Amino acid sequence: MDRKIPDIDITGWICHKCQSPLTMVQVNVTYMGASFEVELPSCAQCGLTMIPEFLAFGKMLDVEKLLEDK
Amino acid sequence: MDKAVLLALEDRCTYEEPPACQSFCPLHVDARAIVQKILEGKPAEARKTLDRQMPLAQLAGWLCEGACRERCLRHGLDSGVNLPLLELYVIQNSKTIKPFPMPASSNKVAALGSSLGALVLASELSRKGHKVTIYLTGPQGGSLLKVLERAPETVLAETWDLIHFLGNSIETAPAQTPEFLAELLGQYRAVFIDQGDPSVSPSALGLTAEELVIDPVTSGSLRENVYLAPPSSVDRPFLAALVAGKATMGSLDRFFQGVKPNVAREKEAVFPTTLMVDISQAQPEEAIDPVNPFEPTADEIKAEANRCLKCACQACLAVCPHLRYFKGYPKKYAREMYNNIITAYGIRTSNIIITSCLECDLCKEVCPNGADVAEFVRKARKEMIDTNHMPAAAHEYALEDLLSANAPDTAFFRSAPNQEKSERVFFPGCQLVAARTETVLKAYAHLNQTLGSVGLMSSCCGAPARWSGRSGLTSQVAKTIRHLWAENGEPVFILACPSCQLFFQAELPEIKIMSLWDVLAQLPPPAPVQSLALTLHDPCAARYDQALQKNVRRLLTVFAPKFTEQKFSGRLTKCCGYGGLGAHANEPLGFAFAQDTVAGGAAPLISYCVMCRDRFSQTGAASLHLLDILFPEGDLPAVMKRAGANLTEKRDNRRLFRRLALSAFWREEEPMPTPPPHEIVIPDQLWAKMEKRRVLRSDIESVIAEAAKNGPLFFNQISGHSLANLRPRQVTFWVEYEKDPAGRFIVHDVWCHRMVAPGSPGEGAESPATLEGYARTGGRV
Ligand code: SF4
Ligand code: SF4
Ligand code: SF4
Ligand SMILES: [Zn+2]
Repeated sequence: MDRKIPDIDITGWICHKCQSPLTMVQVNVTYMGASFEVELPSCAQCGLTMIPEFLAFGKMLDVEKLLEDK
Repeated sequence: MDKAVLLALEDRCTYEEPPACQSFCPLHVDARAIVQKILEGKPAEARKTLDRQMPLAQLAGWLCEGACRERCLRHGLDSGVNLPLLELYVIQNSKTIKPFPMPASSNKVAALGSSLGALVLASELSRKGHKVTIYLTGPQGGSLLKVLERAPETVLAETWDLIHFLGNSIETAPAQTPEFLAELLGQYRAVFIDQGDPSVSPSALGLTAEELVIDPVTSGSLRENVYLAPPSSVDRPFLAALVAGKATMGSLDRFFQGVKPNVAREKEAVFPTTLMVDISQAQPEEAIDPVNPFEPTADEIKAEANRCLKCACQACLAVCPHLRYFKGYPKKYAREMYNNIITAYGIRTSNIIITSCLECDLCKEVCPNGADVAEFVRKARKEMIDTNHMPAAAHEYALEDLLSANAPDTAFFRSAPNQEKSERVFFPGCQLVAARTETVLKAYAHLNQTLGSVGLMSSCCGAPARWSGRSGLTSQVAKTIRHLWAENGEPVFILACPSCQLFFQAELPEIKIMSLWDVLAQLPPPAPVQSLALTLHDPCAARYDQALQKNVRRLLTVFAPKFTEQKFSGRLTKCCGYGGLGAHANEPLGFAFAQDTVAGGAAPLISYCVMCRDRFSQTGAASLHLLDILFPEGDLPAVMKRAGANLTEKRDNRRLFRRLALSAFWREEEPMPTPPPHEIVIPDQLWAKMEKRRVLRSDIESVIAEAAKNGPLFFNQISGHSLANLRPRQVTFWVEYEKDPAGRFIVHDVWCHRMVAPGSPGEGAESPATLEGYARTGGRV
């Protein structure tokens, strides 16, 4: 599933532990036994993922609801 | 799910039944749809609808005498809608679609006589390839003189053209004799005798009076393969001829396929409809009188169409925002919900219909047939839970709230102070304790002073578990209450909340209960009389409890004598939106319910369920709980405008209630809760969002505690904000914050989601809202 999310504003954010900038990386998110790929800002070094608010209350919420109705 | 459950609801909802004009129309023309399309300015669409039921509409539309008018629900009010006029307008303002001539079949039919019935039969039957030979029995034209009194010659000429075009033929009949009839019957598969033609003579053909009795369903006669149109002396001869032509066509269609002509024709006769229509609001309005009755204008037709009441059953839809929300009606929902439940693979798109219902029972009360949506929903939810198909998010917060209210730091049971066992126990319910902490303490003190031997129990009764369809959790909670009751001398429970009362009646029938309002009505008055004008709202949980309703009114008559009734009250009361946890599953709809219910009262509302009270106040309406006037805390006009406690406050208040009550009445001093190790500042404007997303202050505290220990996850070099998250249950919370020079954590934003992204602390945590979770969190009190 291609879930490119355009224009995530990650200006200024760095990974606290590695002090590295964030880059957009495909990661696997899971819910109710289903998993899918989504491009999310992640630490360039350790891969820690950030889920910004507009995604949490936007597209992610839609997908959550869809999976709950499966 | 048993199909009987579906049928029970489906059969009772008569929404799909036709309006009276259609059920009594011998052709069953869907006039309501035609009116609708005329009003939308789409005569061509209306024509399509007309063509489906009316044969040879381009001619028939000029002629039908309208059996519908005296059956129209307007008939008693002023006069029935002039549907024949509307139909005339439709055919005058739409094109006749020329049918495609079909290759001839081997089934040949003869028509004797050439009036309307024969024309209908020939034009309709030949569309399917069965050609008709029309035998003229008199001078051409004589048979159609009556028709020409109404329809223009051109239309009739076009009809003949069409009949030729479709491959039918015209012959001149020899003398009408029994031999001729026998000859026709030998040559053709069926003979149609059109008695509407004055030159047709059945007796000359040898048909006896007995043989001429027309079968109303098939239009057949007692002579095999002979079909009849009635003579023009009958009532509404044109309509009768149309019916005869159409019925014969239906018979021959079956006959040619080897099926008996009378099979599966139950729906063709006229019948009284079971559709229930409330016309009490309809205003009389005289029918229009067109300047030219043979050429009505668009304006005249619009005016007449507007007189149509668009008959439909609206009884339940008129009172229930849920039923309106999904743009259907119970019969349709029944099928959708049923299909949803039995879906094996794929998306269950109707879950939301099931979870949004308030289980408030109002639909059943207003439906003329007692269609019970709530009962269906209860069964559906239970099945969804049992098969693990309930969307996790729908009720999770409410269940967590239940568990928190029953946790050891919040719930308690005590017999009356200084008594081993007491005769009674006051059970205010978790919502009232959370929303009216101090007031409940006052009420308890009052009960103890005036009545004596009253214990106190604080916990959730279990109603949310029941609403959500979780029978395991429901009986687990009930078991805890039953156990305490039995261990403590089986006291009478004094209940304040109507939902608790319903729960006790259903799940704990062995416990004797009384309503707080009944008890208070018999005790010395605790408070001064109020002169406020109030509107009483009955909570939906009290719908069937007439004694409770009466007791509340008794109290109000004393303490607020100027109260008036809600527009919908007692058995017909409306729900605030909280019932059945509907507002948890569908928040916008829950809000619409609150608004709808608030609209039923002019003065500030007073309810005896605190959920109603708080939900009304969310809409901006002034509202009170009954306890507010019995044990007033401050100025009532101010109290009625006060917002209800938020989710965090409610949980805090329940814990506070335990500490205050144990200390005041039992001298048990509980240690003060340990304050969070960090000072956290949540700006006011963030609370609304936290409520909407069900984020508690404690959720933020746990994220900050984690971040304080292990550092935040992200840091913003421009704003200086930190970002941390934690997944304490099936939700991940993110907190954006900043540490100020004084070491305080200033929260800037918070959000949450249920998906799991790699690397969240607490990943894999599960909701305690399960039976196992309940046992783990200590379901004991
Ligand atoms: S009231 Fe509602 S459920 Fe009852 S027949 Fe009418 S539409 Fe159907
Ligand atoms: S009011 Fe309209 S829908 Fe109702 S019976 Fe009359 S024509 Fe039919
Ligand atoms: S919310 Fe109430 S009135 Fe509406 S469908 Fe459900 S039980 Fe019936
Ligand atoms: Zn890193």
